[in-house]
Amino acid sequence: MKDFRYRGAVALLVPLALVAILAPWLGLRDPDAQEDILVLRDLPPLSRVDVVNLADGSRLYAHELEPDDDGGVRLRRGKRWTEVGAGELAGPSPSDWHERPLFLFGTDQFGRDLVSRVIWGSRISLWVGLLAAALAIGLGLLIGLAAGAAGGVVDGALMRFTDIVLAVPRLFLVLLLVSLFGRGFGVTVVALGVTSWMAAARLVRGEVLSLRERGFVQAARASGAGPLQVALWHLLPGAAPPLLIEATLRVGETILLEATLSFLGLGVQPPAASWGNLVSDGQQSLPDAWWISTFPGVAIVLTVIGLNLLGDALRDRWNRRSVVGLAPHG
Amino acid sequence: MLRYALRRVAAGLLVVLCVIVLNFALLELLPGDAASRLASSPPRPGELEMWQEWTCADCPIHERLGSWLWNFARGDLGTSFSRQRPVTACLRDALPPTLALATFAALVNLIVGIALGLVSVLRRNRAGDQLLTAGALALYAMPTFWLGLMAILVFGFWLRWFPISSLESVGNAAMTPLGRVADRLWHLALPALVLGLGSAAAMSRFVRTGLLESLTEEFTRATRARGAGFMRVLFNALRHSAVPLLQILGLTLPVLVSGSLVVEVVFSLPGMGRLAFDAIMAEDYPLLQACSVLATSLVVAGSLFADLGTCLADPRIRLARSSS
Repeated sequence: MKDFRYRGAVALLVPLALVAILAPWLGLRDPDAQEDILVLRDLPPLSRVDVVNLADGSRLYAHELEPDDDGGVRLRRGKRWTEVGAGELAGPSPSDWHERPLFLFGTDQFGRDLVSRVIWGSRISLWVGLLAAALAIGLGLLIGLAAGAAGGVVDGALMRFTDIVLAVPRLFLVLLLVSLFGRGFGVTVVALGVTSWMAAARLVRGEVLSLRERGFVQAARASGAGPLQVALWHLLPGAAPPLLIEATLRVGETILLEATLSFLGLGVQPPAASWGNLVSDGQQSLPDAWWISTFPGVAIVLTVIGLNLLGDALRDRWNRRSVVGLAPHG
Repeated sequence: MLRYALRRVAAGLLVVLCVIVLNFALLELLPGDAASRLASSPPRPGELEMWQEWTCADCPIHERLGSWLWNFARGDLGTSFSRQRPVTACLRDALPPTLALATFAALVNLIVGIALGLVSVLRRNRAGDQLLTAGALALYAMPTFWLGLMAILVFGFWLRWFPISSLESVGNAAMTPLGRVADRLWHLALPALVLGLGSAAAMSRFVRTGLLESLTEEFTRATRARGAGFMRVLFNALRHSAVPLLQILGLTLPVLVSGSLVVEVVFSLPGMGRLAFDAIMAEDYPLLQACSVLATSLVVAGSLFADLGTCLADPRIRLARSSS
């Protein structure tokens, strides 16, 4: 573990995965709740807000608080001052009814807490990335195995098809699919998956071609193993390491593309808080509330850096230069 | 050489043809009646009839494919649903801004990529190099739309150095010709920088690897032994890694074309990407599929130039490819 890239990847990815998995138990605010637009809208990062807990269990957010002479409290919401009598408060001492919760990343234009939106959003973005990458790797594995194991005309046809799909700018291909098949979580996963299997297919085919002539594969074939058995037991394990590297890099790229798609309003649909949606939410109020677009973007960048570091380090460790690493993407 | 070039052009045309067929196949694969799925809701008057006439909807499948291809061959891409005018006319208006944006972005990509690569080789394994490596990594992981928004925030809203949207200022028509050009460049600067910088990270890594490889080769020792100065040696090495760079530039083209869509949406530029985006939003399938074919053609043409350029630049490749 001397390689700084592993340390970097672990430092970025482990906390991210933990936070995403543990999100329901972190005591976060409801990411979609618009508790109080008047007081909570567009709060800058690190804001604290006065909250008054009432005896009936409800909460009042306030711009300003003043103690009253009779043990009650006067609070300002917008321009209006309201009186809350001592009897209406949740308890006798200020520690019973007064809180000043922290909004670490601030809030958006609907008064929703940005920290919990970014964290809950990570679950959506990571899921889409993982599922779509798994689909892409699975498809690539199938097509690459078929091409490499069958050879001849099948190989030629499959590889030409791969070349052609590679020639279409990926974003345009995804947009075509989305425009034909509708929007939403499922369509996004499938559209991203079926447009990114090409690198994996080429990779698997290459590995299979080089393994096919090796002694142990020929021995297996000579001892009567059928093509399927050879493919599954002898060719597949050999293709696993480069595929794993490819998968790591693919997840990062897919997260970027999903974010782009959601930013354009064509991916995961609001109110689901994917990172792309969050950046898009902040676009309208960019000059007044820079934090809404900034923090989800930082989350994307850190995640993708972590995945790229991991993929790059694995590639050097297993000495697989055949996997195209940090190539231009889009 | 000529035979190789012709073969590459033919292969490129074949790819474009296949993409046109792919678009056709996608439509055929749609569940249910394609025309009714395509129509926007509520359908605009006449759009279905227009589309059915263009695709020859009542013919058997081979005739449909034939008419689809024939339409493309004679340059009739149908009529846009949302704009009520021929798709070709829409594309003609949208192409120049996109080409300008992509060209400037490619320049930014090359200049910044080579400069950063050079610096990181000169200061190899020192703080400067490591800082650049980290920067390239971050830049590489940045979604283009977010980089664009951040650029708008910092250079548009806070520093007020650049305009934040559109292609020209209001009242541009009253300016002198030179002023108009300058105004356009000023408007294109930020989008081109954003688009170019995003891909410059990968470029700088390739320049760095290429240079480091060239510097360990025999000819570098020979140049040194001849008593050439440091800059001369570096220049030789850079020239030597120019051939792979052309290839990388070819690889970067799809990124620039896809990226220009995002950048045009973020900066509201009236280019092809914006056109494709509007087409989706307006459920205007004829326009969208034409955009995708045109985008593919741009990418194919770009990689064609990269390949032919490689051939011209490197006699060894030229010989190998001409003989095969």
